[in-house]
Amino acid sequence: MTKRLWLWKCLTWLTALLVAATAAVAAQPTGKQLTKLAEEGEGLFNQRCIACHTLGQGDRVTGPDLAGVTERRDHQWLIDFITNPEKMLASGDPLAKELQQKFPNLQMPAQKMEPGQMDALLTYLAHPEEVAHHPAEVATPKLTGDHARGEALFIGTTAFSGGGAPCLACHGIANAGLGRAAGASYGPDLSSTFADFGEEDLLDMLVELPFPSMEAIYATRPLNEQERADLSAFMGSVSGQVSPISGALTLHVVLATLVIFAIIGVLGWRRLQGVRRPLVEQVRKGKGELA
Amino acid sequence: MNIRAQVSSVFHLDKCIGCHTCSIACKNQWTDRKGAEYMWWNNVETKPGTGYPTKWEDQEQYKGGWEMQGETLQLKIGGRGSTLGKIFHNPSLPTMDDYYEPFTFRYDDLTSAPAGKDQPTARPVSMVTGKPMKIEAGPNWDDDLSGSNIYAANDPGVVKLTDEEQRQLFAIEKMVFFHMPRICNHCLNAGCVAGCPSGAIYKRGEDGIVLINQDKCRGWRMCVSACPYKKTYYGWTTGKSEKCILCYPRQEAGQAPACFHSCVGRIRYLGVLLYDADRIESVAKQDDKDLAAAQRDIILDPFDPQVIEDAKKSGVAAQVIKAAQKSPVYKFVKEWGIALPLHPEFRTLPMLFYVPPLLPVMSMDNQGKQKMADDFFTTLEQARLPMQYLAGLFAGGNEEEVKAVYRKLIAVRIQRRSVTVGDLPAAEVSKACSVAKLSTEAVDAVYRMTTLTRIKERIVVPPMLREEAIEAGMDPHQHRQEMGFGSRRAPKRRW
Repeated sequence: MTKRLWLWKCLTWLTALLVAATAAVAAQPTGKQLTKLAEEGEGLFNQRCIACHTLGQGDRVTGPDLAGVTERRDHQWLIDFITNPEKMLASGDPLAKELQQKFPNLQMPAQKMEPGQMDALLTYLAHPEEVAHHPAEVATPKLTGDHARGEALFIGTTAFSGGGAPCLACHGIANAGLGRAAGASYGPDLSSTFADFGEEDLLDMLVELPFPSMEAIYATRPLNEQERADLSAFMGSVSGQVSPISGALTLHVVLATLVIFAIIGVLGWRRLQGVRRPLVEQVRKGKGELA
Repeated sequence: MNIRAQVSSVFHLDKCIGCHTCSIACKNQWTDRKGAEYMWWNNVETKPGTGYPTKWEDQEQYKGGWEMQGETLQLKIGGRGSTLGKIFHNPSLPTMDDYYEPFTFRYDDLTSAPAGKDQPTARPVSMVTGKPMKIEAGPNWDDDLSGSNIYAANDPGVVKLTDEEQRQLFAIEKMVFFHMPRICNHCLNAGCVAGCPSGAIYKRGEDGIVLINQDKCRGWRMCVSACPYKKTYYGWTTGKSEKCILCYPRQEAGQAPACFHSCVGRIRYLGVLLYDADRIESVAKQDDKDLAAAQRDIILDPFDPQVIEDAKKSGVAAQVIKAAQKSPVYKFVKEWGIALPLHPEFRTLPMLFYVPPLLPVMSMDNQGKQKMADDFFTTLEQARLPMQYLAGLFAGGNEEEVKAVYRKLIAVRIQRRSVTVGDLPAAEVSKACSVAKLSTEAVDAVYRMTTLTRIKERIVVPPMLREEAIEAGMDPHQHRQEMGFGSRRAPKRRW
């Protein structure tokens, strides 16, 4: 009896082990499957994250380096933060607060992801080495942008070929004198964008469209390469300027104000002059003396 | 013939003592409210003086009344186009200082001030800002010739006199003044009505009272400029202009207007006149000197059967014609011819007439002893107030008009002297009457009307016939049931 019991025990253990192993194999993809997921994740990373984050090249002003992030942070925390960083911050999460303090100028936009996409992205972040390195893309000769045309595109005097709205519809550039006066206050001011991101990332952003509101506008009306280069050139050309309002403009405004008041003054010069007071003044000065 | 009825008045200036009771009665009743503090629908001025608002008679300054431009009669502020051009910046308005900054005193301080070394005083405060102020002007600031080197000297009528005349006028112990109460003249050719861009001002068909429709008024203030007498006022809280309404609610109840009723000197007479509305324009186009006579001419005899017939045809009710026959104003203006309009040269055909004052004119030389008729008429030329000044006020500069009135007033005096003292020969009396072109009966009637009459004879309020006026707009039965509080509608533009 004891021998039989022992056999049964062994069998049960074996079965359990087998089941567990199978389950483990199913949960942790390996081999080809892992590579496939990581490749999909890389695509997502390049599309949505690379504008602000790096993977192994160190923190940037726009966001932390994400190498090893899956080990540093809890799995669920990562999912929550990626899908709604604002909510995390609002709920008083200490880690989210710390990140906000470290990168104070930028708030990470919420990323809308299918469940599978989230897995893929996290897999890529955990195993970036799984991705087979593609042969280097043929380097296309870099286009040089024309900043004057960039300005025209930004303002909208020249239309985007894809039919997208001009940048000024939402953004101002105070450095170029395109600020509040132009009524652009929907998106952030782009005066320091070039300095913050650099040319390469700026161009990437215009392709990847990491911001949901921009994505909605430009995903179906993409900018072409020349347009991106022009815009980048324009933003680069104004990023160094310090004085948002030039002295000449101030002078013009002051002069115009003076002229307007002068005209009003001339028109109203002889208007509603008192009658009684001049009579009294006249006598006070001795001119109205009577014999 | 288009005969209309006009409620009009006569102010007998010889009887005015300048007590301002009329002004106060009017103020308490109509303009004692916020935004209307500066308004005096009735005010009393001292003449010579600049009046209220300062120098209101100077139309070069205020552009009131009408002027002839070639053959056409034109408002001095300009025609419709010109009015529209300056609708947002009417340049011809009196400033607050020209009226006066309304003030009151902190009377509470007299009783509630904490104990201290000094007697508490009631400081003057502005009714506009509520802050303490220095009072520099008032609605009767030049009362009884106060500040005469400023105010009397700048009276537009005095300025026109020669230097010699001005010197005489202001010589010590020869200075002279009289009081002149003023209300809206309810003109036949009213400048305010013509100037209003909104069409808010109208002349009531049945009695000629000029009113501003408070629903229609948009506060452009063209009426303030266009009225040469400056008798429309802008209400600063309502944003609408308002003016003397000749107390029509009182008249509709059969009462005399408040200023008439309260007059201490009993100088005010009120009654209906019948006039020919078709001739208004031709009268207004006469030369300055003929205007007073032409205006008298437009007034019709209510006893003339032809006039009565035409009046009935034009829709004047029989009761109103009857009231016109009792009108003291008709007697003063037409029958006796001793009342003249104020500044007829403004061509608005004012329907308030003045009996020019005799006393200050004549009193110097003959104190204590009455002179003969001949002397009287020669002294007119040496009168204390130059005839030219009075003619400028009441006859568009026509001295003959004023002299004719004075001859009659003097005739009344001589006759009364003869009756009461008996020291004048009958020949003198009859001579005075014939020079004045007035029968002895008429002289007696003038005397009676001036001194003895009671209020019902002095103030003949015509039947206002509201039922008929109401009937034109709505069923009188419905009106009686529904209109107890008047029709109150919110103005389109709220204040």
